[in-house]
Amino acid sequence: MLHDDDIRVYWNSARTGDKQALFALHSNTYFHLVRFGLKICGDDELVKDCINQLFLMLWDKRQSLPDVQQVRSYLFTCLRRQLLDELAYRSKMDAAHEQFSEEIPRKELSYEEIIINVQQDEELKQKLHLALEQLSPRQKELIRLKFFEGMSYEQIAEQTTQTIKTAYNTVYDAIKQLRKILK
Amino acid sequence: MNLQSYDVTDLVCNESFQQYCLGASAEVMAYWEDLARHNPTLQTNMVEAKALVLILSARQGNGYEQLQQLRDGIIEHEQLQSRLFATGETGMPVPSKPSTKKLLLYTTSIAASICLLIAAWQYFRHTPLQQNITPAIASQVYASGITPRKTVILPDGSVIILRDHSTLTLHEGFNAQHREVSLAGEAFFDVQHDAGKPFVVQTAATRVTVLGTTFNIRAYPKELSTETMLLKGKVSVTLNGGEGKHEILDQPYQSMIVGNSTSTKPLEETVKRSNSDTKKQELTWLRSRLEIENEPLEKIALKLEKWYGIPVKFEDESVKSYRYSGTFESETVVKALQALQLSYPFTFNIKNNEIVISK
Repeated sequence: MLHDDDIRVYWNSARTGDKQALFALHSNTYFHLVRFGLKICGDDELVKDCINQLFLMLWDKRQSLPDVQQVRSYLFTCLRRQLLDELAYRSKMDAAHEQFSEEIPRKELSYEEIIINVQQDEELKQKLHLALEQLSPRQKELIRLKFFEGMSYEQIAEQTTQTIKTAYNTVYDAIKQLRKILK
Repeated sequence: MNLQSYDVTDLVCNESFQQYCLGASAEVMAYWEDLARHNPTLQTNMVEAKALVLILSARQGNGYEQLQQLRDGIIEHEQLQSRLFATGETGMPVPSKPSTKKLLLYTTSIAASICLLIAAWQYFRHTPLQQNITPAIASQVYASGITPRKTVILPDGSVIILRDHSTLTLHEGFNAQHREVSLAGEAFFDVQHDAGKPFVVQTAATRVTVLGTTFNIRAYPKELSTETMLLKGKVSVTLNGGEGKHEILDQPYQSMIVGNSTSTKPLEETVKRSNSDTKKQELTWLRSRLEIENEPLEKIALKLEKWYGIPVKFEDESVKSYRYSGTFESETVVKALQALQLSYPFTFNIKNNEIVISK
């Protein structure tokens, strides 16, 4: 992961019209933005669309972009606003979607809610739900850190104070179990 | 442990493989794709492992592909701007793939002018602008002769590569009223999406209908059968004289083979096969593995011209000396150029079935 200072360098170069810097900014922030967006709405297509639109808009307005200190948080804020606007727009279109109304403060979706939400297939949704229930809380946490947060085994080991080997083995056993049920 | 003996669980837990699934970099993708090409068993395991990684990562998407989409979006946007501000342009700009399935409305506070641009872009997207430039053509014929590959870029932006001794005929009014072509021989199609005008390929034995997708048809008149193979998307194959009966191909490398002399046979007697590894071999006539080691664009252009069979010209001398390195495999010349653009930008246009590169 890049340091915030490096991201700021890309940001400032993009502001002056360097397209490659914009692409570098995208490469270095994309997965953070997707995860952030998924926690808000759990709709992967919508999140990806909004991120694409966000970067197109940044490029469009590059000359009037501010010199921000915290580029990542700035992008998060933009994305959140875009997602909420889009959700509000949709719920206006479909009054039944009460949960999207702005007054109710929505809480972050959990990892399990997100991965089940983004699947279209009802049968798979059911199976996933069952499969995740079989895992221990420890296994679930490590699966989340590995596959959703995209951490390396080394980072996981550090955060959960265990050896890299143990972290790997926990993930390995969990995957084995998941596969049995998902088959 | 030897990579080739990795089972599905090993792959899912492998960090490099996880990065491949998420499209972390071009290198890691090339690495795994190369491994897969040479190990059929590993490839099968990779498909299952990838599906699981994608589920667990909550479909975060492929970073590499998303970046491509952004780049396409910007190119599209800039082309629109140049169209709006410089009228009377003669060349046909390369329409890049629509970057997202649906364009979200800008709901945030954006300058009115941008909204206008987007509105105009939406408008142009659905109005075949090229019609002004390329008026409805009377039926037009492209023949490859002994050239191993000849690339033809149609007015709608679809890219077609003809194999040797193949002929493609655009029916009268192509792109104006319809998108119908006839094929004798073998060709690879990368069709631009246009829901209003399905793309239809007529051969002696079959009629293939698509909206926007990638596929290969082998229909040499002297051969016994006609084969349609899908690479991406979905196509519908109708047997000539089969009373409208049709088969849908919707899996990559799925193919359908129809006897040429037996067009009256019911469709059930034709063969439909899927996903066999030998199928991929059949496309080797098409795919080039381009290995570039710090070469100037001028030299690369020559290689592209030779492989894809389409003239590549330069409008700007300075572009010729841009240098590139890398290894990639692309089905069409347009995709190859787009891959190059990613590492150092230049523009290219199609004029009279010639590619013109400029700054």
